[in-house]
Amino acid sequence: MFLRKLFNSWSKDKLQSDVDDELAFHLEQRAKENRQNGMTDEEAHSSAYRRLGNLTLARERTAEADLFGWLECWLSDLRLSIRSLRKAPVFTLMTILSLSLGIGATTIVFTVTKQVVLDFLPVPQPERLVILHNEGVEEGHTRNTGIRSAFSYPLYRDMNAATGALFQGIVGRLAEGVTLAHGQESELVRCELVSGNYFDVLGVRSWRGRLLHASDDQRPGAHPVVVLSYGYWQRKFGSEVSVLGQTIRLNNHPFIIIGVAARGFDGLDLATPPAVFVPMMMKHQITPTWDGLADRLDHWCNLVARLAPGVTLEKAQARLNVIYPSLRKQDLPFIKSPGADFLKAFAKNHVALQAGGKGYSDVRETLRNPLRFLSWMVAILLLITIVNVANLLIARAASKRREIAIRMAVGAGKVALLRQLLVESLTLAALGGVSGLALTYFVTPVLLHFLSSDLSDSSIRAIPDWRIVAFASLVSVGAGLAFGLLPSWQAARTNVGDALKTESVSGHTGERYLLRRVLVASQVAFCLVLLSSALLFARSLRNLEHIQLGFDLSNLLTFKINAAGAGYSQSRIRAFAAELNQQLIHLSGVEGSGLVTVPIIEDTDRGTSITVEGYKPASHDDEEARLNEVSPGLFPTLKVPLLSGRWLADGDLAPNSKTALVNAHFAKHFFHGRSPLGAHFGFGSGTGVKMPWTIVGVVGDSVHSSLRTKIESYVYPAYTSSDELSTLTFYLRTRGRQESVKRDIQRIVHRYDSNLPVYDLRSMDETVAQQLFAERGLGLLSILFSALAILLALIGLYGVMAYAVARRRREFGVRMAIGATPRTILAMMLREAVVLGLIGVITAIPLVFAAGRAIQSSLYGVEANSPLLISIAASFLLLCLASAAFVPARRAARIDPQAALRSE
Amino acid sequence: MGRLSPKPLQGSLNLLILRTLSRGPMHGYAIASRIQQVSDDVLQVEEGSLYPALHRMEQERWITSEWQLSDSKRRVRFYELTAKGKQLLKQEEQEWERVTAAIAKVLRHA
Repeated sequence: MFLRKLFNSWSKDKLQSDVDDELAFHLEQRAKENRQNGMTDEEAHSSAYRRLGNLTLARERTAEADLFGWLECWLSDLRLSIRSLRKAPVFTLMTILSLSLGIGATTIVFTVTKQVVLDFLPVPQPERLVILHNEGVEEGHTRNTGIRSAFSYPLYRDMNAATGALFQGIVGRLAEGVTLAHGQESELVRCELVSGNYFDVLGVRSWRGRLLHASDDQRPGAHPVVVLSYGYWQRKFGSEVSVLGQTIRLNNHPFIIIGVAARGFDGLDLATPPAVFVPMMMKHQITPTWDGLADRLDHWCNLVARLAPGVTLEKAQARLNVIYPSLRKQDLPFIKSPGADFLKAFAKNHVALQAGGKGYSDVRETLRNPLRFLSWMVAILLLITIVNVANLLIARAASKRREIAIRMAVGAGKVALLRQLLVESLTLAALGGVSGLALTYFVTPVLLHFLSSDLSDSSIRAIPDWRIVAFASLVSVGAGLAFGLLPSWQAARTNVGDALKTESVSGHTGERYLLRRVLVASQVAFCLVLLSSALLFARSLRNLEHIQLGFDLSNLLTFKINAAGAGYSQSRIRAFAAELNQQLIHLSGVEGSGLVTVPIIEDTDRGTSITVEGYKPASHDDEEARLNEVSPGLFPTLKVPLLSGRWLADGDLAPNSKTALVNAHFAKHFFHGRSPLGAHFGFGSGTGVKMPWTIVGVVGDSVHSSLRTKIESYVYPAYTSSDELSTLTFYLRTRGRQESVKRDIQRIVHRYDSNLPVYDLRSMDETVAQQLFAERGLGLLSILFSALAILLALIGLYGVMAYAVARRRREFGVRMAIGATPRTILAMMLREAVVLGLIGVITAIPLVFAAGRAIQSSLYGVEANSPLLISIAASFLLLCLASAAFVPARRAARIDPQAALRSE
Repeated sequence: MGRLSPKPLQGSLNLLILRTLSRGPMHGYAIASRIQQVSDDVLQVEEGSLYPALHRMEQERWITSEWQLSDSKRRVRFYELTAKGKQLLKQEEQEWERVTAAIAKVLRHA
């Protein structure tokens, strides 16, 4: 019936033709009768028309009666619903608030999770893409930029040529920062160096112009062409088509813009959407300090392949296992004097294929767990919301029961009643959904900001997925209906007379009261799971924030300059660094200044094999140390203590100086308590490595790549010894306000060379904060979600208690009449609330332990199943419950026994 | 000659339709003819208003309708009273009699 009406309203034609048929029949009958009364055919016909009056008007009015009659029904239901909801503002507000919080939180978290964890790359058949991981030991340089998928370029070419039967093609890429100049402006942007087959193999279309092809990637330095990403084209060039064919400068080299990649395609890494795509053969222009295109011992190229038709990942893996060792044999001649252990390990090198339809994502890896936990949390929150809405609707139904019974007694149809209840619930759902949606719009960017600074400028969008919103709304209201409205309707239907009597102690209300108590207890249980997890995350965050850094974080300022990107030669960079450092020290408000080649606590580090005089390595891994080149002023500026020997001095910056500092961990590992001062070492492993370097001092241990990584052995040569200087990171100890120092830094660098962008200029506190983004986000959000959950549970408990007090007025009256004091009544009610809470707590214990096991691996320095934390959470929850129960309990205690007994 | 009201007994159309249908299912034309015939041609249903009224009454669930095929194989829409319609008819008849009796009294005695 409903559907037919709905259908009719859409197919007005059908409705109109029914009306036409009906009226035509009428006219025909009338004409027939007229003829029987002796009229001519023509007269009979026109008389029939005259009697009907204006035919068009009759048609329209009849059709309208159908359409509007139906709409009228629903509209009047809607009006009635709104009126009755407005008459119960507390109920309405509570329900909408619960719904919007539950729906909003669910939508926000799932929207982000979907994009970060679930969404595939916007290319045809993304599931056919595989990522190639390089597994095993390597000699030479390995440059992992967060992605453990680095191959040497010659190996990539060999592999691509040898796997034609397995893959449609393997694409190589490297993400790099590059200085982009257009007109007078220059800025640092992300660049993806890509092999010529990149767009063709991935199946990316061009939005404007053309993309890169194999012919654009033939000879080093011969293809100065660039493809813009859609986002950058839109942001920077205002979607102007005329930029095609224009020249921009990348690291001061001219490149011609040939096209714009498809909208939505942001490269292979979610977290780092590139502004420009450049042919791999232009690598020397993009990374002027190192080439690596011909070096078999330089591992840096990330590989992704598309499986050939009919080839499965397993089959490709099996074939590749056979092909790969023979390809790697070509590396052996280049490895100097490899040891037997190394050769044995090297022979086991292999490629691991991994489904690559979602692209690379470092962010995905780091956020997968936090997002998974948050998803679980909002799922629980949604459950609590559902329970809460159900609880509210049951209370609502109890109060509407009389109204329903009265309406039925005066002849309202069951269908009409049900429809009205439905309209009311849908109205609530719509209001809750809309306010939840509004919440989503405002809060999603904040969530992204909390979770990761990387995501803020990533390709993730804050637009909620409508399917998620619809799902959350439907689930909450559907469950609410099932719990709340249907029973009330059933009760009213079966027992009109009973319901009409004043609140009698009937079985129905008793059952409902029990159901509501069960619901509250389950809310308490869910709350405890959320709260104890939140406390664990918060505790873990606190531990991370108070980690021993090994240096002084206060008043520390940092910034970066990519001098190589501006086309500087190595010697010019050395001169520039020395001069800039000198000028910085003399700025007012600056106490010290130093620089490094590998930034501290930014998830990057550099490893090297090392041979130390007099040390016998236990295995290949044992000959490794981390490396960071520093200026003499660095450690004094960071306030890292000197444990023995001396600091580096200006004399150590001389071209042929081979002096270095080591950290305490290095000294302990390689010297076992002997003094390392004056000892020699060399870079590289195997027999016959020269050891020209001398250790002149030992400094304290400090954290390097990230807060979570353990302290490792570090060696610190002077930065002047590096011949790969490109990005320099400076650290300054400041006094007073940092703003003026920041301005001075910009001014000095700009005066030196206006083409040198200063970037990542910020306090070191911000860098640490960035490290802890995910943890802080998780901690804050889990606390927030628990607070919401507790709030909802308290609303639920308050409702139940208030209802109980009203229902048991008479009982309290009797109790007081036979001698109970207000105090005993108060205690009795509070006891009931606490017992309800305790039941919830006890039920929750297994769940709490399960949750603890699930999150243990993401915690830092906390035991997940800590009885202390769980008891704190449980006590806090019970305290909250008791306070929420206090108001209705006090009302119970203040009942006037005479009035209560008289009232019935 | 002036009239007190342009349409005397306004609103009585619904009542007439309900009463007519209480004899059994009928199509619109039959309803109109029946009212005219029984009232000895005094009451002529305004045909332009008949069908909108029927459709509105259907929306109110007082009557239901069904398409049937006539002897000449035409689609004809038949209307029938519902239980709700019957109940309403009973109430309205009583009300009508009460009011008309009262009016008659006033006309006679006032």
